[in-house]
This record gives sequence, structure tokens and C-alpha cells, in this order.
Amino acid sequence: MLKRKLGLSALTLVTAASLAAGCAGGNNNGGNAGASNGTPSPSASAPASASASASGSEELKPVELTWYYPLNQMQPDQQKVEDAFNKIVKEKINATVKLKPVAFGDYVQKMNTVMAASEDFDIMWTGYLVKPEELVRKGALQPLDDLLDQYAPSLKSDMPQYMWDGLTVDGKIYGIANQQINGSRYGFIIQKRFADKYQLDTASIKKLEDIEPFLDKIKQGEPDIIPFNGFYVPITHDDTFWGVPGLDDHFYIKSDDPTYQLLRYPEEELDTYRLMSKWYKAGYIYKDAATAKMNDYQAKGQIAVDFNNVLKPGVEAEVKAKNGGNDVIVVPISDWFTNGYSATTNQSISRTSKNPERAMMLLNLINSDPELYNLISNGIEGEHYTKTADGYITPAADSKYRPNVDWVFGNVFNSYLKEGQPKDVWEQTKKINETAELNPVGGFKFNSEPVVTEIANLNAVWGEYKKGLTTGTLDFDETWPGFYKKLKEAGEDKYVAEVQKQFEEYLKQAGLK
Amino acid sequence: MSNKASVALSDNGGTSARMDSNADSPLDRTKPKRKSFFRRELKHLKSNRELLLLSVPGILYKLIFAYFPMVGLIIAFKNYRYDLGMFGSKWVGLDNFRFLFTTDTAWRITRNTVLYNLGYMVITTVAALFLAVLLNELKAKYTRFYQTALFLPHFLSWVLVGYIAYAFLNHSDGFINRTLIALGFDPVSWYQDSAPWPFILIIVHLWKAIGFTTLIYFAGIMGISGDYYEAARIDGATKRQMALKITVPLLTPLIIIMSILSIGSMFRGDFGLHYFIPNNSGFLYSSTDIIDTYVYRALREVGNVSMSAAVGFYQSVVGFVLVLAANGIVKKINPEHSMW
Amino acid sequence: MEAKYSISKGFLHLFFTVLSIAVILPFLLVIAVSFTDEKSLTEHGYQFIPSDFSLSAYRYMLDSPDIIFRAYGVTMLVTVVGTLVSLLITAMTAYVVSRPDYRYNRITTFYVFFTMLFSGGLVPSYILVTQYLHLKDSLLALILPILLSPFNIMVMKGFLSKIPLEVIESAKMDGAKEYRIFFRIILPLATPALATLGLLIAFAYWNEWFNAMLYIDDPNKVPLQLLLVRTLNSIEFITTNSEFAQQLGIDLSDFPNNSARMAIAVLAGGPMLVIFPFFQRFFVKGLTVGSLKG
Repeated sequence: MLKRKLGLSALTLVTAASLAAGCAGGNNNGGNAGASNGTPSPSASAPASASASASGSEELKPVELTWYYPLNQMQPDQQKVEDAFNKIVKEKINATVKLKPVAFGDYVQKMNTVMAASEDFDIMWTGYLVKPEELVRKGALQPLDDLLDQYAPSLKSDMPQYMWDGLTVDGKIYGIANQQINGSRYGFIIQKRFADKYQLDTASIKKLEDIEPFLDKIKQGEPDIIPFNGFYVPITHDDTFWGVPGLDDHFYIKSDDPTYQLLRYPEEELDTYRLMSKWYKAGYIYKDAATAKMNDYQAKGQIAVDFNNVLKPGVEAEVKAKNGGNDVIVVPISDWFTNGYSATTNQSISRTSKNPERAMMLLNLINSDPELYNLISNGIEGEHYTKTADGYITPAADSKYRPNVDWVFGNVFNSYLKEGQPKDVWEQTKKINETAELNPVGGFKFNSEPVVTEIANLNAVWGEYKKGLTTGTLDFDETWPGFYKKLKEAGEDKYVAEVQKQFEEYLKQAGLK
Repeated sequence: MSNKASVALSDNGGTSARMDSNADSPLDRTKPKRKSFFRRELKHLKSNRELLLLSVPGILYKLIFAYFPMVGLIIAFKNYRYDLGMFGSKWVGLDNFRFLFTTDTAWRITRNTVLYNLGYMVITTVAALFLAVLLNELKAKYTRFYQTALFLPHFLSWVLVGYIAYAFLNHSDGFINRTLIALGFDPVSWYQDSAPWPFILIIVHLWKAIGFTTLIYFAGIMGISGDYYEAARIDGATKRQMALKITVPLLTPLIIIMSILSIGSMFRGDFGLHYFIPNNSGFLYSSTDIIDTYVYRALREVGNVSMSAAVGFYQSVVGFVLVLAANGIVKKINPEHSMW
Repeated sequence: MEAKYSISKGFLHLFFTVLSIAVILPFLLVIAVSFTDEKSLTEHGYQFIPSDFSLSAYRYMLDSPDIIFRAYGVTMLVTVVGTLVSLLITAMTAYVVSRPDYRYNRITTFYVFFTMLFSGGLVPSYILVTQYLHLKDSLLALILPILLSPFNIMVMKGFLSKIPLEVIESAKMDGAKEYRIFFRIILPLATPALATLGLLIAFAYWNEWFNAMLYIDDPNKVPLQLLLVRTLNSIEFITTNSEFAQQLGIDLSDFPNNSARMAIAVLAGGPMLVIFPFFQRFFVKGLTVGSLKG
């Protein structure tokens, strides 16, 4: 009994919400004609109930919408904010919204169960670990193309096309991206005090290896400081390579290769791990990095150099607190690039929604009305925060509503400025998004169904070695043969063959070959 | 005819003689077996009906909450789609089970799961019996305190215990290493060395489960009549003899039940224990990885309902077979002690 | 004889005292950390004696007392009602299958036990509870799903089978019906068993959070343990998926810090210490059979 209970708590964490639906076919699908041929039901069935809103104005019947989204922490004043939220929403589109926040740790399990049971609800946040693409393949979402054209045309044009592409599956759009920084840029976040002390010439750092002398100086001069935090973020783009997105970060193409030949575990990638082994042996990486809680050391300000891939404008202020209050500088080693849009944070509409038009209207509202957006992101002005004339907000001390997850709700470019952000942070970000170098094969979407078994086993194997390799604790050259053998056993070849096949098709379709 | 019928249906149980004596009549000989089977069954039903009624709430509950949803077992054999539901999704036979068996790791995780479960079962049972017998020697007011103390670990969730374990086993400033250094030994890199972990996990498991199991055995001991002990004492038996010759044998039915229940979960591991305490360190997998942790790692990013259903099904089937076997063995030895 | 007795008793006490301390140690650590100032935690890690005592973790928790109070209320209601009903039905069912003279003994035992091995799983249960029984966001969704545990039934069966058949037969001879026997004779006799299982059932309800996570969206119906586990799970999620967290700027400072987490654990588990003695009063020996002989 005890074991089963603990086993259950385990399953909670397992994203694959275990066993599934009973008589779901009978109960909730009836109205939405989703059960017949397996494709998510088009909104064709729904307008019958809300034909009055076809013109988008005048007589709108009152409806209730349900919206699931994740939060770090449940907020004490949730109800207050919901009431204020609904006041505005009711006025504008005659709808009341039932906000259903779910803690991050539970979101995947809970939403998968809700969807597997074909429960009625309207909007849900999709993104990491609840990727819209996967949900589409399982039949949980409805396509938004028509809804967008009818109810949110300006929203459509506001976002760059490649973002819509990132949310397109089999030709239809399945989510609305919450716009935010979409470019990536690799680089180092270095504690200012050390950079100054050892006169780091930031202009000379162009590659990962270039930081090595600096690390050595730290090691010699600062016995209590850990020079390097470890290589947790894979490099998926530099001057010579592009990573192929949507897979496991180990497929690459050469930037200048017109044949777009797919490379698997190229030497350059393996070299990075070799470098980590070297740095580990040299003592630049903490000897327990693979098993210790590095956050603790970072919070004490004991980490000198961190390698990161999101060096967005304003990151220095954000990361300062994490580094024990020490100032940091950013040393990028790549330009801004983007893989297209990898569906990191979006809102999608469920197949089981009874009012998809109204749901779309709500989403349009959230993304275009700063008052509404900031209400749900930051709370009630005056009560949960104070706003200055030039748009900066300061949260109230002990504020009872401070979710701090703007990117969950909608377009973050609409949010009020926070302390430490430059005044033009959103203009800068938008510019980055628009001008970032675009991955030529960024539109590739992989259908993992034929190889789920192999992927599952490969993930399990990587899980065993990842920490050891990215921190250099395991000597790469010694470990690789045995590790690779295990990968082969787990189905590496079959997986690669399937990826190759789908990639070739993609290249043909995209006209790249 | 109707006389015999009413006689047969009376619930005194003493009518069988009368029924048999009527078997000679020609009418009965034409279809004797079917009629008397039903009659007999009805008779039994009548005589057992009150007990049956008492058990109805339980039976009904299980029907609704356990058997009705059990139809979901078929998910393990389907490629589950949210819009097709359980009945609409496609059959895929044993595909969902493949990932559990195609690698070398499959052997490792199965071996670990089984060995650990056996270890937990045996060690916890022995320790709990030992403690229960000892507790029995003390006065009630003391046992209450000790029992409460032993039970406390039960309340801490594994995540929390993981934090505590980290505080002890942390290489650089964990309590254990600090003590080792103070005593002049070398510190051990606990999270990277897989050898000591079977012991660590067994100790931690024991720590968490001992209160629970001891309580059960202690309650069992309390059901043993004091007369046995009195008689033994008069005969000059020592405490040890009393424990071994009276207490343990009389607790046997309870021990058997508890053991069979554990056997049913032989392929189900304690996820929290094996995931949080070793801090999910890959270096330790060879000795800490069990079926449940492997599946978690494999399916975490895949989010596949069917595959995790398959795992559950596999664990259930194995547990079922083992229980049938165990119960069968017990039946051979002493039918009174078998579960059914 | 007397001297030998007290020496061995003395050893016993020593043994148990040491054992208890060893077992409680981690719990003490949790309490200690909950009273430690966060800064000193960062500096010195977990310590048994806080170098900087601080109530800030508790202040943080009790800052929104209504949340905690409501959670306590929910948990207590669910635990009391759940335990009573569960204990009753468990005892009834266990008693019936503990009677060797019950004809459907074996098949009922099998029927119950089978459900311990095989389960339809999460989603059919979810559908049952939400779509057929319409219990979403209801406290019944916290009580019913774990009302009857096969484990409890089997263990209770083990205890009840100790009751000698003669007692029951003599009652029957006096013309008593089965349910009267159950309520008037069996239940009083089985007090230690009831107390033991009652305790275990109460703990199960008190600690229950998974069903709450699935079925309860209304913040007013959130039980105590869910508050804690939710936070810990989310922290675990953020730590394991650090690339995601980094990209979106989530970091652990948004969560209750170390000492707060321990404080939540103490607040969630502490009250059980009160419940324990309540049940222990019934762990009385020999009341059962001895009284019958007369």
C-alpha cells in the first residue's frame, strides 16, 4: 500500500500520464465530431451554436471559458485578480473566464489526464513538455487558422511568419505564440569583479576555448571560487554549423553545405565534451559538479563563469540576484540566431472547447490590451504594484499576487517595464527577433511516432551519462565507446534512419533540395 | 413437490437429509443434478445472506472504483489518441512493451527491482517482528512514545528526505564526510560511487517503513491471549523461548498476509526512494535504477500514455503470477493460512 | 529475579531510546532548518543547531493564514469523515472474509485482492470521477477514491480471524443476527485492530495530495499536503529542466526558499503527532479474548 502510494507520487512526475480513457468516445466527443477520422475537429461544428458572433460584434451570448495555465506558485489574491479580469472581459466580449492555474510540477500530468479524458475546456498553455505538435498528433487541439482570420486578424499580422510556421503542423496552425525573446545567443555570463580583477579582454573571446586562460587565472588566484559552471546548454549554432531542431540536439548540418547533409554526433560536437573533460581534469569545473546542487554555489556567488544561450537584453539585472548579488557582464560568442520558433510558450485551443470563437476573441484581447494583460501578469495596480509615469513598475512588498511568469499569458512586449530593464527593451527584443539569423532548416518538424520506443530508450541512456559528460566528470574518450554501444542497443540506428528519411522529404518539400 | 421445495429452501441446513431421502422418487431421477445444484446454491445463499449483505458496500465500491475503470487496461495495447479515446484508438499489440525489453538495461532494472524488493521485504519483516516483540515487553506508556518516534519518518515525503540525504551525503560538506574527515578518514564521493548504495537504500527504506510495519505486528501481538504466556511462564520458559515459540508462530498468518501483499508488488519499485535519495545521479544507476525510475527517464519527454500503461500492465501481470504461486505454495503447506 | 528484570528492562529502554533518536534525527534536522535564517543556510548549509535562528519561514507561511487555515480545515474534514467511513466498510468487508464458515470467503478475498494487483490506471479513474460521478472540485473526490484499500482489508482480515468462532456461534445460538454480532460483539473485540488500521487510514487521508492535484481546482478546497508537494514538485521540475527555466527566466528565487519548504513540511506533518496518542489509547492488550473466557 505504501509502495503504491509512493508509486503514485512517482507517476505524478511522469509526464506520460498513465492509463487512459474509458468511454470517452461516447461522452464528450459527440458534439465535436472529433472521433470519426482522428483529425482534430475543424471549427465547422461549433459556429452553429454561436452564429450570432460571426460578424464579431453586437449580440454576443454570455459564455464561460475555462483557461488552464501553469504557475510557479499559487497566488493568494488569485480570486481578486480573476474578478477584476472578468469585469473587463465581460464588458468587452461578454464572457466570464474560469482561470485555472496549475503548479508547474503538476502541469504536465494534470493536463495530459484532462486531455486524455476529453474533458471540456477552452484554452490551455502549451510549450515545453506539453508541445503543441505532440498534442496535435494525439488529437487534443483544434486548428486556429479560420479563427485567427475571423477574430484576430491583427494578431496574425503582428507576429513574424516564422513564428506561425513553428506552430504549424500538417499545414494548420495550432497555437498562438506568446511573443518574447525568440533569438538565442551563446556566450558567457561572467562575474564582473573577476573580469575586472584579471583584466579580461572580452573582445578576444570568440569561441568556447578562448575563455580557458581566464579560467586558469581564476583557478590560480581564487581558491574558493569555481571557475566554470559546466556545459549544460548544447551549442546548436556557430559559424560552421546549424543544429536541426525538434530532435535531440545531436543532429547538425553544415552552414555552407548546399546538400544539407545530415550529420550525427559530428566530431566538433564531441570535441566540446573533450574540452569539458580537459577542463574538469584541470580543475576548472567543480569536482562534484555532476552530483552537487550547483545552484547553492551560484547563490553564494562562487561561480565565476557561466555558459548560457539566452543573453537577452536586461539579463544582467535578472541574473544578478542568482549570483549572490554580484554584478555580471555578458560576453557573447555568437550573434543572434533563431531556429524558427520552437513553440516554447503558446496558448492553444482544445478540441473539446465549446466556444472556440470566444476563446479566440479572448486570446486576441489578451495580446492586444495591455491593461488586461498586465492585470493578469502583475496584478491590480496600486494594490500589487505601483507604476511610475514612464511605465516602470515596482511590486509591492509582500504582494499577494506576483506570478512573475509574464510569458505564460501572452505577448510580453505589452508588459510594463520592470526594474533593471532598459527603457527600450521591447524594441530591442523585437529587433532581435526580426533580424536574428534564421536556421535554414528551422521549419523541420519530426513525427516521432514511428520511433517512440527508440526515443524512450535513447533518452534513458542519455539520462545516465549526461551530467557526467557535460561536466567533464566522465572522461569523454574513455566513456564514449561504451556509451555509444548502449545508444546503438537502444535503437540509435533505427532512429537515425527515420530522421534521415523524414528530413529528406522535408528538404524536398521546402524546395531546399 | 412444493413441500419439498419449501423444505429445501428453509435455512436451517438440516434439510439435506430429507432431500436425499426423496431422491428415490421417480420425478427426481429424471433431472437430479441441476435442480439440486441450484437448490443447494440458493440454500447456501440464504444461510450466508446476512454476511453477504455486510460485504455488499465493499463489493459495490470495488465494482465501481476498481473494476469499472479496469477496462482501461486495454490502453497498454493501443496507440492512444486523445480524440479517439480508449475504444477508438488503434490496436498495436505488444508494441508499447518493446521499449522495456530491447536493451541490456532491461535486465539490470529488473534485477535491481526484484532484489531490492526482496531485501526490503525480508529485512523489514525481521526488524519489525523483532521490535514488535521487544515493545511488547514494555509498559504501554513507554511503547506509545517509541512507536510515535518510529513512525515519524512516514510523514516525510521522499523529496524532502532527498534534501536531508543530500545534507548527509554531500561530498564537500555533508555530515557524514565531515565526520569522516574529523576522524581522520578520507571523504567518500557518495553520489558517484555506486557500491554502497544497496546498503544506503535498504537503511533508508527501513528507516521510513519500520514504524508502519512494527505497528501492524504489534497490533497482531496484542491479539494473542495472555494465557499462552502465563502457561509458558509457569513452565519456566525464557522470554526468548516465548517469543520464538509462541509469538512468532501465532503471528504467522499475519506475516504470510503481509508477505504475499509485498510479493504482489515485486515488480513495482519505490520510485521516490530510488529517485530522490540518490539525487538522480547517473553514476549510481547500475545499483539504484529500477523499472520505475527507468520508465520515468525514458518517458519524461515523450509523454506517451500507452507506453506507461504497458509498464503498469507488465508489473501487474508479473505480480499476479507471483502471488498465485506464493498463495499456492502456502496452501500446500497450511491451507488455513492461504489468502484464498 | 527482580534485579534481572529491571536490568533487561533498562537495556530495552536504552535500546529504544537510541533507536528513536536515530530515527527522529532527520526530522529534527527538518525542524532545525525551518527555523534557520536563509542566509545562514546558504553560508553553512543544513545544521542541526541553527547558527542564525529565524522565524521568517513561518512568517512567510502564515502571512496568508487563510490559505493555511482553509487547508487545515479541508484536510481535517476529509480525514475524519474518510477515516470513519473507510474504517467501517473496511471492517465489515474484512470481517466477512475472515469468517471461515462464510461460503463466499475465498472468492470475495480474491475479488478484493485482485484490484490491488491490476488497475485500469489514471485516466479511466479520472473519467469515472469527473464524468460519471461528477465529483470534480468536490471534497468527495478526496474521500471516495481511496476509501477502501485492499491492503487494509487483508490486514484487518488477518486481525479479525483471530477471533474464535465459538464466540460467534454462541451469539448465534442466542438468536443474534449477523449484523448485530458484528456491531455488538466483533467491533468491541477488535478495538486494537480498529485502532491500528484507523491510524493508518487517517494517515493516508492526511497525506493524500495526488487526488487533490487532479480533481481540485478551487483554491478553497486544497488540502494541506498538496500545498507542500505542489511546491516541492515545481521546484524539482525547474531544477531538472533548467534549460527551459533559463530560457524563460524562471528561477528558484520565485519559490519558497529552503527554510520555508521545511516549514511547510513541519506544518503539514506536525498535527499527526497529536492524532497518534489519540489512537494509541486503544492499543490495549488482552482485552479481546481474555474477557470472553469468563
